[in-house]
Amino acid sequence: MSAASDGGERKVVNLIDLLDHRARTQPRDRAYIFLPDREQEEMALSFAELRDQALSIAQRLSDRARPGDRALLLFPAGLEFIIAFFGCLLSGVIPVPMMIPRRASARDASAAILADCTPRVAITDRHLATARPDIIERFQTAQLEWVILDETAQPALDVRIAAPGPDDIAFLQYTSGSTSAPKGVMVSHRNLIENSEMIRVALGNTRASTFVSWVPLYHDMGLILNVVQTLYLGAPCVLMAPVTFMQRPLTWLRAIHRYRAEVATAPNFAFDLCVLRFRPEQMEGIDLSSWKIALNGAEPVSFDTIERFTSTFAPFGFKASAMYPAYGLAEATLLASAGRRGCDLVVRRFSRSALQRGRLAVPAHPDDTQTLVSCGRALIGERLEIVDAQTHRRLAADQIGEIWIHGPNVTRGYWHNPAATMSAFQPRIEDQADEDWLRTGDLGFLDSSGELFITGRLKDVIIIRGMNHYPQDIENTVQRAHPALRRHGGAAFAAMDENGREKLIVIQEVERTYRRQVASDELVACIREAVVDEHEINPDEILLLRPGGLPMTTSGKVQRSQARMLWQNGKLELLG
Amino acid sequence: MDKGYSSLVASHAATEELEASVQRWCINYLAKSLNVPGKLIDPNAKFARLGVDSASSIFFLMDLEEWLAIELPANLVFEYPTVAQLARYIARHFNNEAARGRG
Repeated sequence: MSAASDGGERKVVNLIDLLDHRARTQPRDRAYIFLPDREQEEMALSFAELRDQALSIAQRLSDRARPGDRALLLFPAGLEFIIAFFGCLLSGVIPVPMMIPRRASARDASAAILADCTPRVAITDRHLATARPDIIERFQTAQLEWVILDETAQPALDVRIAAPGPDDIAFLQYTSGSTSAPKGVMVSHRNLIENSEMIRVALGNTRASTFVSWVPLYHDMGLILNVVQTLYLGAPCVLMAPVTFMQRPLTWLRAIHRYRAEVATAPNFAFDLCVLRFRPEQMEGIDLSSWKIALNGAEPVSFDTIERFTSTFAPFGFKASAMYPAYGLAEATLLASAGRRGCDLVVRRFSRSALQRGRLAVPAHPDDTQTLVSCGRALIGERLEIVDAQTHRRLAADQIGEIWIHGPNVTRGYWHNPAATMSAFQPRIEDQADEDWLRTGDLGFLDSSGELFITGRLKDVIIIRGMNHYPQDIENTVQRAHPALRRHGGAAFAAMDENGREKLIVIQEVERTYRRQVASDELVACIREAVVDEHEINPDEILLLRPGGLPMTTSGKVQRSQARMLWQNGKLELLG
Repeated sequence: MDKGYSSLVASHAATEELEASVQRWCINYLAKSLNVPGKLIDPNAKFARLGVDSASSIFFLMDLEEWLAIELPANLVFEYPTVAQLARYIARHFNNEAARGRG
């Protein structure tokens, strides 16, 4: 049923062929459906309409940009993002999906992303252009050409359609790197086609696999696992706004029922939210038995979440076997490991204290138990290895080390960043053939049957509600919040709570001269306000230390992993 | 569910009384959801300062809607960024609505 085999006379090698194939073979089939808030009338786009409207964008782009130029995509939730994305591909322009900057935040990643990928064009819709003139103003120095999508798009007359090679860049994904140094993952057409096939096989998808998603399209899960996958399958994809889901999570489940959807994917927190906001009267008449793949990914998967979701929604036809934990990252296009459709979860119990020291052991007592859920196995055509991060030696089954990946889904590296590309994408495993591997920065182990379990992280990223945050960004925010807070004297890091959810811990030194002048409560409140305002997350713990209380390297760099260890063992010297 | 509110509306309670009732509800709610004693919730502190991030502000507003049994604009927490301001807005808004209903 793949695009490559269902009646296509040639193998599809890029997204342009794929779109063309769908528009020719299923012109009138509904490709994308958007549900506005409060489940009003849906908006729909057929495959042929998508191609035609994308062509019209491609024509407008061809007057303003050359193939290979970058175009920012700045869209509120809706179908316009998809039209613009394919419009870019058709004209050979590289789309760069971006989150809409918030009004309040002056210091988000958007300026650094602009500086990094130097876009010529920015594409948005009429609504955003009118409602948010501050965005156009904010990017004025970048001298962007703005292309505003509107309903009165002219039919394309004579568009020169790009013919990209399989290794040409399809788009840039900016989810890695800190606010000040964002990294744009270069995703090629080959990466997308290969990962689409891997996803199709692992999830067991067919043209009948309707998807329902609220995950934002600037997020790789929204774009690749939903929008690109359904185009690959020729299946319909029902979309809703993230805020619709946040406000009324059960709307997501009602849409799954209404469209008899087979696949709906989300980060772990979304499953928790459905349980938290469960109201029996809002679930009347809802039948979730069509739901075959409830893919849980993009942040650590919690066994506790899975159990609670399954027991809450089993009376509404939800099947335990639909729970589908998965692992992936933008550097591997999207999906890196997953289970098989209809298979039961693989669950193992370990000693939590041993896991914290990077070892696997039987729990010493019931309170010491950490339940881990497997994120499945390597995908078709891909290999996973667990490697000692220092020696680059391959580790045996049931040993914890860094997860390394080799396969056609591994991307080309980071845009204009050879140093970061070399260290992440070109390491070698000791005593192994001349092959490049992707270092994921994630820690885990493979069991003897090849099931992958994630146990932690080497890289410093903090993942809350599926979004990546970087400790240095949060530390900077903290240290700007009050003059009493010591510059370079703080650490932000993630810790797991007993249910396997990620918590944000902030520790910060206070300048000696201020210790008697400002109340601790006042400083904690200042820190909290600054972090919530700048990063939209509320630290779970904020601890103040005396000056010099934080472990530093000799060059004065904060040692976050050491700080986390001291925190875990209750050994931090807190301000009295 | 607190029955106090509907009886307040039914008796065309004074704006001040309504305001105090909404404020009490907000403080209790935030104390519970942020896991701190209610006396630490300063009604004049910015929501961000209390630790109400964008996700929790959505849930806060949804629960407030449920308690009041009305729909509130989604940007309310940004426009009225403290418990005191929010309660004042809601109380006035409501008494206006009630007055319109009576007229």
